[in-house]
Amino acid sequence: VKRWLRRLRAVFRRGAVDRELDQEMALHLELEIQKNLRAGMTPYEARRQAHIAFGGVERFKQQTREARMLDWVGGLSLDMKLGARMLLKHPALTAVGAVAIAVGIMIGAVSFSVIETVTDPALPLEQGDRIVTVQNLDAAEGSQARQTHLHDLEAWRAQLDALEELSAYRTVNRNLVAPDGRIEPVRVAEMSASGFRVAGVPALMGRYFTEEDELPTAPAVVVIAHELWRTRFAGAPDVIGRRVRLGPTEHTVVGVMPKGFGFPVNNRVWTPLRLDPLGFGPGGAPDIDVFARLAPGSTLGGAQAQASAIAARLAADEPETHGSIRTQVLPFARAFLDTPQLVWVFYLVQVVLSLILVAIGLNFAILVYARTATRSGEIAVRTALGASRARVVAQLFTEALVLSSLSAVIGLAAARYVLSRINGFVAILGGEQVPFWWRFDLTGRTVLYVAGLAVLAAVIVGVLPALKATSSRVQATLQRMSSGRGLELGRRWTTLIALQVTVAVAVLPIPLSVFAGNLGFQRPVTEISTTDFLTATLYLDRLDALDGRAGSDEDFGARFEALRAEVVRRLQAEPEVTAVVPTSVSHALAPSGGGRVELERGGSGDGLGGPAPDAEVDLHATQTSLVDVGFFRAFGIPVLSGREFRAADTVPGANAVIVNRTFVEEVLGGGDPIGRRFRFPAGVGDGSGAEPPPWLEVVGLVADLPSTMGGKAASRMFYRPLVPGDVYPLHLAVRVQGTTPAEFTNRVRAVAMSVDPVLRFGTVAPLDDAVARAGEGERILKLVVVALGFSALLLSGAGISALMSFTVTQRRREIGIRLALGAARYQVIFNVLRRALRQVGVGLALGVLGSALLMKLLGQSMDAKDWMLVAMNAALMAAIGTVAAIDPARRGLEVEPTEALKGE
Amino acid sequence: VRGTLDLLILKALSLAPMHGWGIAQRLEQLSKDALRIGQGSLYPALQRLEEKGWIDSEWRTTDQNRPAKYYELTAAGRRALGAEAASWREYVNVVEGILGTTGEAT
Repeated sequence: VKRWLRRLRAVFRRGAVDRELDQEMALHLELEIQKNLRAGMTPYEARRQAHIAFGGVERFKQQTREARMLDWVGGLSLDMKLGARMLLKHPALTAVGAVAIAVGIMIGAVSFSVIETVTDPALPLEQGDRIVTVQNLDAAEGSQARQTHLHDLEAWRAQLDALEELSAYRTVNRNLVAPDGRIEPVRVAEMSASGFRVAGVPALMGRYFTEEDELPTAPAVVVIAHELWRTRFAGAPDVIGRRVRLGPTEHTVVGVMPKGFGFPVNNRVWTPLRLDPLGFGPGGAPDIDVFARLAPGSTLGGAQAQASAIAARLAADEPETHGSIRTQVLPFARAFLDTPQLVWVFYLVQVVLSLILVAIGLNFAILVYARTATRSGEIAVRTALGASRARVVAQLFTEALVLSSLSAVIGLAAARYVLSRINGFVAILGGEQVPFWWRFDLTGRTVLYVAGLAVLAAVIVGVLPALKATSSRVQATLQRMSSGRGLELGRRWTTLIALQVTVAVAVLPIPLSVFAGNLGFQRPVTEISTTDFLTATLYLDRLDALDGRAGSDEDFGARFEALRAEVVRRLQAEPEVTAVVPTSVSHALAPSGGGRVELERGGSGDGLGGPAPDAEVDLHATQTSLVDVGFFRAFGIPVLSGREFRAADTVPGANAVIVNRTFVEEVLGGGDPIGRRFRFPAGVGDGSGAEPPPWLEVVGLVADLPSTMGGKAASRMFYRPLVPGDVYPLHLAVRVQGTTPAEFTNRVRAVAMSVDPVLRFGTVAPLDDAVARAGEGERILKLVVVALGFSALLLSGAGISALMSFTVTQRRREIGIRLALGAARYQVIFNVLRRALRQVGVGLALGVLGSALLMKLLGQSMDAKDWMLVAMNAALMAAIGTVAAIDPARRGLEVEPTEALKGE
Repeated sequence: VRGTLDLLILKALSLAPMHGWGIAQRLEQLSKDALRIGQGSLYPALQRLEEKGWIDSEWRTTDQNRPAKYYELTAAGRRALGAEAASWREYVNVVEGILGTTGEAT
């Protein structure tokens, strides 16, 4: 240990070690001299003899170091030191590179973590990799829909002996009422008793299910999660035997599972799966999810082969129901991907995202090359002094590695932050539907991957320019140096500058427009106050075997309609409630559609005689949102002209719409909108191209409202009345007074349960929270896009600047000569700028074109605002280019003409 | 030969801890001036031995109150000295034996 410490010290404190050596030598020399003096030599002779005996001091220190076998380490540490010094010497370049590469690394790390967790999940259970899912895919439907029925489970249990403990579960939603009186919607896993044995986790208290619990006549029992026990039973030790209500039925608690157990998905409540296969006709049994453990000695491939053989036999026996069924055996965790076959898509995404880093790296490498080129003299001298090419390349690589390591640290920190945001976002979005093992975090493998990325970046940034710089014949470089010239930038570099500008101009408006949206670049909107509101989503659960499927049959619709009306009536009767408004989404307002509309010509009433569908008509992009009849009044939004919606507007065939100001100005061309008519042109929506939908008539005008609650963007909106019976589930915005939305949530749930115990409010939350959640995904995306855009802007600016100053520097001699020949200074500057800006100009022109093209590809129509952004961006790049060119040009003017001529 | 110098240094240090110059002097003394240790080989050898963990170093002051690096035999060094000395003697014996035979034959 001590030895290694010493060695480490020798590497990192080389100076101190060398000083000690010096001291030791000095003492030796001095003692030697003293001895010689004692022997009677003259002081001069004594010193001379001592030095002769000693030999060359430096040579020795070198030998001593070599004895430590440290030389190569020393070389490396020297390179690192040099690297750090170079980075400090060019702080701007360093900052630009570090930030840009860090952004690339961050994106790579985030996607790697997410993709690793999603595609290669380690199920945190004992031998979790041996737990598999068995599922049927119906290839005939073309959609690869999963079609696993209760009857399949029976067949597999009988025949699939590569698997053991074949089990099934399905998820149903229930209101859970614990003794504390609080009502909470939970996703209940109805699971085979054997499912717990597959998971292999014993109960913390009590027991889990046995096969007897699956009998229809057995008493209703429930197993609860640790978390539920702590929160709803206050961790009571006597919880076993207590009663819990799930929807209409009382259940007895028989077991508590240990902390962290959420199998099969992210469940907190388990009941036995009590479906009798005999109760259903062939193909009519309910959908279930089937899982099992691989039997000892069997493999995934073996189980798959057996399952496929069974499927083939079934297809032959019962072509009606099983003709197109394929059976798939997958690792359990993998089945949570929507299309597990498409894992490779994720890997492709990973590769593409890694390419972002490569692109950033290459971009930065151009910059570094420009700098390396200015160091070509140094490199040539080193080579001439005997440094091998490998040595020089290694030095430049080490320099780049110092930089990319710095970036890796920054990138990892940023990735960690983004992952925590994503975790929060996924939890909000998916809740109990997110598998309990999906926790995105930086794993050891992520760090390894990032280290790989850092090395890759260093190779691109360091080695490519170094190879380029060292390949040019040293002889030639030395000659050029002696004549005062550096490396030449040829046609290639001119092209590079133009390309750099093109890319910058083409790509940047997109993040800029994201920014602009954030900065309130658009029209001001009338904010809608969401305080005092809570939002609640109403579902109707069914208790029959088809539970879990959304209601589609008529009975269900009629029943929901009646119950819904009763819930709204009872809510309105609550003393604290001042308004109940059905909305189309949980955060109350969002565009539910949109498209291009055509205006009725001339304003006459004969709508059916309007322009033929194929005639040239002006189409206007718009967005539309469904709002309840009482929406504007409840949210205190004044109707500026015309009228509000009435109940009569919700009957079939009614055509009233309310528009906002932007719609009036940009679509209708101003003026009084009341009575104006427009419609979606024929062929939009139905695709038949026959009869166009009926004309819509403007009956009212409101101010510019945000297109989503809490949003800042105004667009051309028109509102249509929401018909509550048309939507399932139903979202309600409830305004309360004398209490807070948060306090009132349990009351809202209780009202629904009082109407029917299977009426369940999913989310109940203050509307403010729902609005904030709805924007979270967009905010994360914005964060990433803005980070990317920012680094692109940095790189482009720095790139253009570096290349411009480099090219102009190349021409300093020429400038001197021109001056010597009597050119006026302004002429020279003009000449330099003209040539430099021609490159930027070409890039600008191409970039603007590319930008328009890109916007079109992304489905964005370019309006005045977008053009302005593109123009601003182009102006910025032109400005950067000009400023970058002026400074070296000015320095060029200071060149003494005689100096310049001397070089010739 | 390098191995020989290492052995001699170990031997010198087995008597008392010493600084570099002291080791050179002691070896000259012991060899009755027959050996002059080149400093060019002394210090690298010391580093090498320290690397092997046979000797240890420490900064102390000399009698003249000058800071000097004193070297000292470690337990491993003491064992090594025994082993090296034994193998040296064996080597000498073998060489001696060979030289003796040749002498008789001549």
